[in-house]
Amino acid sequence: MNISQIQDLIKFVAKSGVSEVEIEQKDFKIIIKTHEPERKSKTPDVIQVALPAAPPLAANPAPAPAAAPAPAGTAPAVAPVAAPAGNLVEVKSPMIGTFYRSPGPDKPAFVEVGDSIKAGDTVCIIEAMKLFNEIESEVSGKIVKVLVNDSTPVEYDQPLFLVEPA
Amino acid sequence: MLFRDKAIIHLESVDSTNNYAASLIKLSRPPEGSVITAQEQTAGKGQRGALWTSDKGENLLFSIILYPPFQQAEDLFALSQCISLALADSLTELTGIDAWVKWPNDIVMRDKKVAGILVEFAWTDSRVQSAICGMGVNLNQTSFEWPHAASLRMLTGKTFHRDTVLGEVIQRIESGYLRLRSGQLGPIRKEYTERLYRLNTPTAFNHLGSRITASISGVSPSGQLQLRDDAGTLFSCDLREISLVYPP
Repeated sequence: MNISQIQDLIKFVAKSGVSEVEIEQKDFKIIIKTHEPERKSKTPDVIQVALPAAPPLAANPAPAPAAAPAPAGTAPAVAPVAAPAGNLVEVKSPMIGTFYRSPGPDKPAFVEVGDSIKAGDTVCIIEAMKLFNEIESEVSGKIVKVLVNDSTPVEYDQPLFLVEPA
Repeated sequence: MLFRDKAIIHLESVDSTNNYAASLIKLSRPPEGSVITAQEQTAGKGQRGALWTSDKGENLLFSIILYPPFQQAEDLFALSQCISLALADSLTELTGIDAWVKWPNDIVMRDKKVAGILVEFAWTDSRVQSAICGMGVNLNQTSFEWPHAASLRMLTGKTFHRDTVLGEVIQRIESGYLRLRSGQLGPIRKEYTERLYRLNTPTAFNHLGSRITASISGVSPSGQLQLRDDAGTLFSCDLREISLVYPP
């Protein structure tokens, strides 16, 4: 089981409403527990990943990739991120995939820092399995920061841009 | 009929039918199922950065517009599977030759690529607003620069009328889309797996820079290719990690 399958599994478990799933394969065992919704803790319970030579689940020092308490319909964020400062709005990735800032390798970026955008303007493409996803801004405003490098992998719900609403 | 109000727009020449469809959605949001065809694309799109080339008037080039608000991020691949199945089934029906889906979404007949698919979704507020499914089907072109491409004419000796093929494919997309909308993902995934080119057949792949032999055993719900190597070990691969070596 690779990282993206584990992430898929965590999301699936979080959405399904079950409280615990245990999967054991030849040299691999994973137990994913979700909290009861009324428990407020944000700490994920991804317990006992016993995998020889396991790759790190996510390259960040924060406590863990999150199987969050699964309120109905929301999947857990994999990379914990601080809330944006002030009134800035984050444009987030709706999926796991590869982030592209331009429509093609030799094309200019959809947006640069300082650009004014309108709601509905395409700001980037996320590619997954040869499916191309144009991400449109929900707000009008100005691009303050691009948070991800071109052609790099992004996770579900990962912030991509900071926008100062107009 | 699901796409009762659809518009069918025939263009002589366009940069890409997918681009045209995207502009049309922004301008007027045409009814679901609307189709744009072109005799010629001046910048037909293949995979990112790759061009899809086709001789003018010889092939079927079209895009169909869908609005699948029910589409969840983790099930995106299912739409691609529906389109692949609709194309493969149509081409099998029209030619009498088995058409297979080369993962993730090329159509192969007698080991030659005859059609390609490019799906582009537009997202706002973490919801799918539209899906543009672009397809290129090689109908009557008689030669290709790439040695692993062919047309239906090259395979059958017959010429094919664009509108006949288009009608067949749209009808099948419509019924596939209806199944997708009603959440029948299991049967879609099963049929797609059964249509996979080189399923359960030892095949040479480029895998992370080295040549391996493995057999395709299926596809995960998110679209990863699942394989079994010589030793019987199962593993799965993303698109960047593996490619099939031609000829198989």
